[in-house]
Amino acid sequence: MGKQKKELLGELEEIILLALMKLGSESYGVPIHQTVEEATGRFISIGSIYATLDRLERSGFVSSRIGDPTAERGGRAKKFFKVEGAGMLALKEAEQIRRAIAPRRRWQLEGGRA
Amino acid sequence: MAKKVKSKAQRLAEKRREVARHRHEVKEVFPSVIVRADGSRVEFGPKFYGGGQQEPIADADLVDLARTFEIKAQELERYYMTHNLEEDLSNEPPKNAEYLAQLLLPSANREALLGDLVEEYPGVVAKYGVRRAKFSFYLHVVFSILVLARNAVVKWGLFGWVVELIRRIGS
Repeated sequence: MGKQKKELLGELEEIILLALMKLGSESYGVPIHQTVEEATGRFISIGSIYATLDRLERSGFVSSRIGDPTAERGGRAKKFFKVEGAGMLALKEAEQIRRAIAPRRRWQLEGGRA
Repeated sequence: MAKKVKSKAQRLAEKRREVARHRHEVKEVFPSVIVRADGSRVEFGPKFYGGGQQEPIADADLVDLARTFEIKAQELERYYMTHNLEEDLSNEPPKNAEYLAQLLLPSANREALLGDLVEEYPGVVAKYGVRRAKFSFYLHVVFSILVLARNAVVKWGLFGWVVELIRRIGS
């Protein structure tokens, strides 16, 4: 058998990982959702955020911990997320792939012909 | 004996009857068109309240009547305000949506997700108003159920998810 397949990040996965890195220790559902919606300008259900975070957690890219319950959340606890080393690596690889493809794409975007 | 829970339609019908009773009361006591002793006609108050009393009335009584009318109008205004505050301006997320989420969302993220929606709700109310905030809450709950239920089906299979759902509803 050949090499082990590398897991590529999906669009939303990459955006969420970047949001987690931007937010740092305050990375839980509400700020993540707001950051992602502001960045993309699209409606994204909070369930999609959690589904993606679940997937990232299963892949070992992020880890989570449960915070304390607060009154403003109706006595419900926050779930904080943190980017792990594998997540950083995956982001770096995604960036490298983008850079490898970028020159031609940038030239086209600037109005040149393919 | 168990307390009978009224449906939304029943509560709405009850409110309509109450409003109609108020209107009728105001219409009976406070006409919008009054004929003075000299025969001239005086209109006051919005037509909404009004009836059509045509009998002559003395100027002195007219002042009293206007004052009473004002008090009654304020009472009516207050009634509508309270009614609106109770029904529409509550800052609480829709309970039905919360119940739906409680019932159908997978337990792993249920509490955190519902907490996030509840935390976001007042901000959405302040920005877009109560109706849109409620709609948005429902939208998030429904989409979240669809997305997370799809993931659960992929994980356990459809049969496993249905069994889990039945277990949750039963408990």
